[in-house]
Amino acid sequence: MSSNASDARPVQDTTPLLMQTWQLMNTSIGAKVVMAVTGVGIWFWFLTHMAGNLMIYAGPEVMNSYAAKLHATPALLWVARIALLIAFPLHIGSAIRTNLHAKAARPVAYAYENRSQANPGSKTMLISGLLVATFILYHLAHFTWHWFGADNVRTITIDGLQGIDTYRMVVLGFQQPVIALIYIAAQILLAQHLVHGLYSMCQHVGLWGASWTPAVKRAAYVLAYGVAAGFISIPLSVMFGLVKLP
Amino acid sequence: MTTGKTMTLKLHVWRQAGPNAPGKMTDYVANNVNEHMSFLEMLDVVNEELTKTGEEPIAFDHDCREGICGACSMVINGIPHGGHKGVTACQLHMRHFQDGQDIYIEPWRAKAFPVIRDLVTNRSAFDRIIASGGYVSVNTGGAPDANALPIPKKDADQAFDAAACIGCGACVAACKNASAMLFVAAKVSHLSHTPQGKVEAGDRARTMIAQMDAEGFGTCSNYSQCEAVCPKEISVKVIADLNREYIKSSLLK
Amino acid sequence: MKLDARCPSGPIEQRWSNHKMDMKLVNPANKRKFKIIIVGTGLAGGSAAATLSELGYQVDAFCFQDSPRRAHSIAAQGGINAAKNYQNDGDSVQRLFYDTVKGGDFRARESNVWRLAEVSANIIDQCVAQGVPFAREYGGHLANRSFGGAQVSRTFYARGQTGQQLLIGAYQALERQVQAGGVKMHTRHEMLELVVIDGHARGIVTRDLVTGKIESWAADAVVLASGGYGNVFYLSTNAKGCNVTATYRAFKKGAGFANPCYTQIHPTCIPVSGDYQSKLTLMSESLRNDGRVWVPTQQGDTRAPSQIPDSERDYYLERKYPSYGNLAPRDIASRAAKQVCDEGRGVGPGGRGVYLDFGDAIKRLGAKVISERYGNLFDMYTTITGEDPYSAPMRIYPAVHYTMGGLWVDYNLMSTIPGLHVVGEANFSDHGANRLGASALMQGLADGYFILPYTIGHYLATAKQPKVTTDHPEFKKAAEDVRARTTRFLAIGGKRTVADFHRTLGALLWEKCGMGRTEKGLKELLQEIPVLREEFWKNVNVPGSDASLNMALENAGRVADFLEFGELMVRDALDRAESCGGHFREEFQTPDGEAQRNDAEYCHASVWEYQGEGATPVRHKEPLNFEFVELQTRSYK
Repeated sequence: MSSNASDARPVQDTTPLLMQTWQLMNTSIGAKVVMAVTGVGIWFWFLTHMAGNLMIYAGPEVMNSYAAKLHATPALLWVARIALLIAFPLHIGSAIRTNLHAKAARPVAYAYENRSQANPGSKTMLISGLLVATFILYHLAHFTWHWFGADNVRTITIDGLQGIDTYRMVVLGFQQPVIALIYIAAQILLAQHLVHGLYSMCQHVGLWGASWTPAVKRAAYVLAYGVAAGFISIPLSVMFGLVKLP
Repeated sequence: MTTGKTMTLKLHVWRQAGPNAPGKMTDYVANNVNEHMSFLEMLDVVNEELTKTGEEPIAFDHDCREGICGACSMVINGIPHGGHKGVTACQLHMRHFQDGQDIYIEPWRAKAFPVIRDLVTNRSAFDRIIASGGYVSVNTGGAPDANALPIPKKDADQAFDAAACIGCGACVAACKNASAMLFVAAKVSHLSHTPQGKVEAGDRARTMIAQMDAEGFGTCSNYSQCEAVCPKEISVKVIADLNREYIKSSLLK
Repeated sequence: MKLDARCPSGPIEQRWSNHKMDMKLVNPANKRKFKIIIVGTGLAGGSAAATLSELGYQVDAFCFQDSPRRAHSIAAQGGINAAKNYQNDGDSVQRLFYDTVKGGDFRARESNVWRLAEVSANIIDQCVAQGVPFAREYGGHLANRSFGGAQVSRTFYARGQTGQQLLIGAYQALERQVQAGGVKMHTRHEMLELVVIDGHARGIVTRDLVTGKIESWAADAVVLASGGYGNVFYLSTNAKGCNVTATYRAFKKGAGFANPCYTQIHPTCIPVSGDYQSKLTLMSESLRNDGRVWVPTQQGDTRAPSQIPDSERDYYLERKYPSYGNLAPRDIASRAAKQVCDEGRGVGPGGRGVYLDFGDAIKRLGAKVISERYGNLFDMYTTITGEDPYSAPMRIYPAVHYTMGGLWVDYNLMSTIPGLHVVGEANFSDHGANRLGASALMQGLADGYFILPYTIGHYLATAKQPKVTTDHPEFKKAAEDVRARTTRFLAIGGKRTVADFHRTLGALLWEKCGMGRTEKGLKELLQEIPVLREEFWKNVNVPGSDASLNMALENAGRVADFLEFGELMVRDALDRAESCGGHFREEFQTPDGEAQRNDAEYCHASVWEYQGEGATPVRHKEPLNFEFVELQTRSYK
């Protein structure tokens, strides 16, 4: 048969893998995969960060020892930091890309906007994400860089290691209601961001099952607000005096 | 023999004389609207009146008027097809509206669907997406017996659920990002659930996504508003199917 | 006009094979030198365009919709017939052939019908290969259901959207060829004139519906796949855009129009609800598998259906046709509904309706099973009427649905104009005077996938016509005619809208040339239609310009052609002094109200030849010979 048809599809290309990955990242789906993967990474960091924070309930010795050991293992710390330094810009970059594309894809807006049927949480992703990012910077400035609240930072030696009295810094920090409330608000925003984010991750990487996708949606609530509850419990405990300086 | 109650409606309709002409919302009063009319029949009546007064009728796409051809395409009070589950604008009946109600009627809004006139848009981008790979590469003739390859009922049903897409574009119109993911995904999911279509599933996903991006549609953010307005109630599950095929094929090619 | 059907002779089961052997072929390398125009991209046109391009021809395809996927084939709900005998219930090519000839009330061409039955099995194979998601059993094999006019289960289906799924299959094959460069697809283009040069169809003139541009297109052959003319009645189950213009323009250029009076009235449609009604919606015939049709025994019984006891219900189809019951063929079921309504026993507003009751089926099978089978149809009914068919019976009434008549074609699907081929509903084809359910999809795809691709090659290999370009004076003249007509519409500036004229024409035809026709009524129509047409050309109001999207202008052209075509239909109905299939002349019926054929005088296809503006067209006859199915009274009792 003299078909003039069959070769409609493009021939397989032989682009190098790195280039392919870059190309993938630049497609609409690829960009969202980047967002999902970095989102998962950041979320894991949140989990470990929360686990560390919760040590506050074990008392100053345990917590300060943990912090000191962590700081005494720069390799681990820097691997995590570099990973985050890559993940955050990619995550935010992908969000900005999505929004720029969205703006371009709808040059004329509707006279009557109605988004009542969109997924809960989905409508505020950019704003909640940006607010959380701002909070993280603020949070770093406070507890890591000590741009303010430096009065509460005291160097101690624990288990033979030089470190700061993290426990004291946190308790004194959260005893100021404004700081505690900002922290709590940020956690609620983060939870809202994660509710949609966790479900979205599964969707973006193609994980879907009739039986468990509804469960994933519910789990997203539990996980998001569960993590938030873990974080929030600390300033609350400090404010209500359940956790205090020894 | 007309029965049923009648009402008066305040319409706000997008009027635009041509692709490059400026457009604006224009107000009309629709009198004697019968509750049993379809939304398009209501517009027919308005158009007859406009014609009689020498004004040009409101142009809108329509054809089968039974909810299957996918031609009708208007955003009614901010929701494509008007927001009744599983219903196109042509099957939306006026009994769902109240006497004296304001109704905003606008065309699909997307860069990839430029307005031709009033409520009529150019949706040929969808044809080009299908042409880029939304098929099984089989020529006529020489097909084996239809029962030679049994297909599990579950797969056939899933293929059908996705294949029910009528290509109306409501998903794009509803999406905040004007993404065409539900449309593309429905085709990828339909064909990848049949053994005949599975062979090319990965290539299909990649060529169709490349075309979708080239047409200027936005990116999927899982708002799921597409699913809510889809007149064939296609689930966003198909988008996960597409993502899976796409990632698999992009990484393993 | 010479009518040579070019049917092969010999044993009927070998005719198509022998004919394929006898036809000339086009060398594979030469195919790309031929250009073929296809007008209409539904099942027949879409499948033909894809297949011809796969073979190597250059195809220019046109549709007035914004995408080929919108063609009205999409609306077919119930299914597609094929003689697969997967159910082991005694089906065969011969039985499908027999059912179709009998179902068509012995007014179809035997050779064509056999070929249709023969290729029917290939269609299912092809569609499955394309990924069409037909319904399947748990074992993974294809499911079937029964349809009217058959006692075997041979209908393949995809829920209630079979037409859609088949069309999407053809559309995808077509778009694949668009990508490959074999098909140039021209959407929102309406064919307004056929161009005939030296007696051969050589091109068309179109109007770009977006820009208003009038364009000419030259080719080596033209294929019309533009559907039926049911919208001449204004209210029908056809899409709003369906029209007769392409075929009627060809008729005016010399193509014979066959059997225009054969119109199919579908028995199960949602009744008219008011004067604003713009179209009627069909409820699939498959509903009659489980639904029982009835009206009250008493005239003017206004009780709610649930208040009427079984003894006061007349299940008239089961009573009159015990062996087929509710699955009696469409023409018979429609007429029976009209009869009971004429007797004053109709239900619902205006008394034009009968009940289609699922009460017994729900009792027997449960609402869940019924919902699985017909859920989408029930939902559709609820959406349109606001009533719930699970708790109260549906109300249905017949509506115009399909037209068996169309441009006359020979065995090669070529009209009386050499080079002009006609496929699908647009030709007069294989259904005789009545089409069986689930056979339209079968015919459209048979023509497009498996018949035309062979026969058009034969024409191209033997016609030996010189190449022409659109500079030819015939193209200039045709384009000028189109421009003049457009200008004329816009200049009238009358008082009545196009739709208003269309409604008037439709109401006249429905009343006097619908389900029942009389000599008196038809003769009145021959007076009334020309008067209406004259008023149209003086008093129609077409606003806007011709340089942009102008739907009123598009409709004006279509309605102008309907106003002429309607008269042709009436003339044919008057000429055919017998009742057969969808054509019921009230003068010709048996004592119990069944159609009475007159085989001695009317066992032929009536083919009308245009004679010029204002002149009465001339009727020619193609005699029909029944060698393999004996002529008999069609009985479903």
